Amino acid sequence: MAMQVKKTLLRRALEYKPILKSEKLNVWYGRVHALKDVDVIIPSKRITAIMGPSGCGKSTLLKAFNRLLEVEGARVEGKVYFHDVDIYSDSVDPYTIRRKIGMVFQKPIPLPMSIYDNVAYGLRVNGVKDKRLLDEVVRENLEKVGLWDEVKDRLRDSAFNLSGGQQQRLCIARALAVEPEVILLDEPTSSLDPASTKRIEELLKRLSGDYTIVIVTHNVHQAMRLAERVVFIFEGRIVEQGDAEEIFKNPRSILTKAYIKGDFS
Amino acid sequence: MRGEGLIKTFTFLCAGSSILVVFLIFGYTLSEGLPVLMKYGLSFLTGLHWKPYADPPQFGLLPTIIGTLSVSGLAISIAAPIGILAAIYLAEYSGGGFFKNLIEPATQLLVSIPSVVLGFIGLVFLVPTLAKIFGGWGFSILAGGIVLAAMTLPHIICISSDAIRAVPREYRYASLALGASKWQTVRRVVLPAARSGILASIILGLGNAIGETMAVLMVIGNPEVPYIPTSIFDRVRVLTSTIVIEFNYAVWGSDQMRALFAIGVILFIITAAVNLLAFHILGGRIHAKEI
Repeated sequence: MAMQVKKTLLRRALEYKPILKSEKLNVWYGRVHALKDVDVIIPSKRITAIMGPSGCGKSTLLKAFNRLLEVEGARVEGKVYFHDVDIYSDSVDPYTIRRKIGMVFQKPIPLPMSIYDNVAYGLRVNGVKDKRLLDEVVRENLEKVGLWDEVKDRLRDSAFNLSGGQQQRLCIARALAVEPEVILLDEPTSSLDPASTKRIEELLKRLSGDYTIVIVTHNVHQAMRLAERVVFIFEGRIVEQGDAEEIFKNPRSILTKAYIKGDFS
Repeated sequence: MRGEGLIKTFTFLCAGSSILVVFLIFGYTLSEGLPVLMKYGLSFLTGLHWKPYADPPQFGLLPTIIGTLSVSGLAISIAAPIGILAAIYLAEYSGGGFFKNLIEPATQLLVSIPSVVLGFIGLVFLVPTLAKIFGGWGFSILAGGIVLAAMTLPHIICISSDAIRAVPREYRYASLALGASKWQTVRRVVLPAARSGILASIILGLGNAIGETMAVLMVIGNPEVPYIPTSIFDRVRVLTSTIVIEFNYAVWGSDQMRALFAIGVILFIITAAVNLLAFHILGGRIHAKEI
């Protein structure tokens, strides 16, 4: 019991050193108020799961973290701090932010180019031309996601020839190649079969030692398996956030309780 | 039920009539043009001299073919870069704003200007201007190329911007999420993914340019004796203008008249081939997207 308390306290302590933090974050799509006064804390080098029913704003919150929202024409108010910098302040350019905060989408989106070029893409747009360095980075990151042995003989093949699960791992490798600090994942396994899902989950656990991982999921069990911290959103508002174990054991809100039980999804 | 059958038959006949018309026109053109093609053989295409009134008459089309290709080629090399950049602006940068709502209808309007009006403007404005700047008469490949570029531009803009818009939005997000700028995303991801549609727009524009008659006829000078041009300031004949200029003077049933029909056959084949090629490329777009 004492051990348990200690562990919890340790986790809490870590929360005081958030890598990402939002303050009074509000997002509108046209007239739709998608996020309402969201204050959220994402601890460094942990897996945080953002849970909630579909349409509750969890993907919106994720996209607020790498300023992809403005590309979709959403209006953002409030602050999002990355370390101590407000990423929405005028002096910050979104490209730098997106290099530091990578993203993997719901459907695997390989770019229409070869496997190699997909992984090298992020470096190339950042001006890296050195062939040897590119080779090295491509190999290193494909190894990280466990794809190297499967594709090393066909790096020049189209990325579309890979299976769905392989494509998603390729997308993770591509995101890792620009050396981000945070990886945002938007329901990365929802279009994959159970075996591929398991591989990705194991991969994320392995990566969480080196990267901050934020995963949006509507699958409670996935959140239980992966997350150390949980954020529960409902209708654009944060209902509850905190230590995963604690929330799954003793949810404070009846909404969270009902959602965890599976009363709605 | 019997009424249904009648309507089906009637609509079928109407639909079938278009095929019939195409075959009748091609058949007639071919039957009139074929004897000359047979008689002069390959020299019809490769001969250097077009002298229908000489004795014996000579029907060498090479200078005219080169004239056609140079005017159309110049038109496309003007219209393609402008058209593609305009399409990129409309599809990627305009954001549905004021300029998009201004440019797109204006582009459509450019299509609806009758070609003879464009040719007339070319004749009274462009040709004298070119003469003033470069000397000479002003009637030239350059004048024809500019007028034709104005005519093919809207087609290139329209088809290219459609092709660019058809690229899945997710590709853009995936690229931006890796820290790429908008232009990097357009250049490295969007344009390669849309390349088949863009290529098709250029080929269709080329087909339009080759088949276009009135506007180009009015500004290229049409020398009495066609010669192989050596610069873009030379006057040329094109295939279409040759038919228009000579058919008034050609005696019905003469080799000259038949030669004009033979030009018609050649034009028909070129434009059909170009259109088929473009549609083939467009049809392959879905696959091309996945490399």
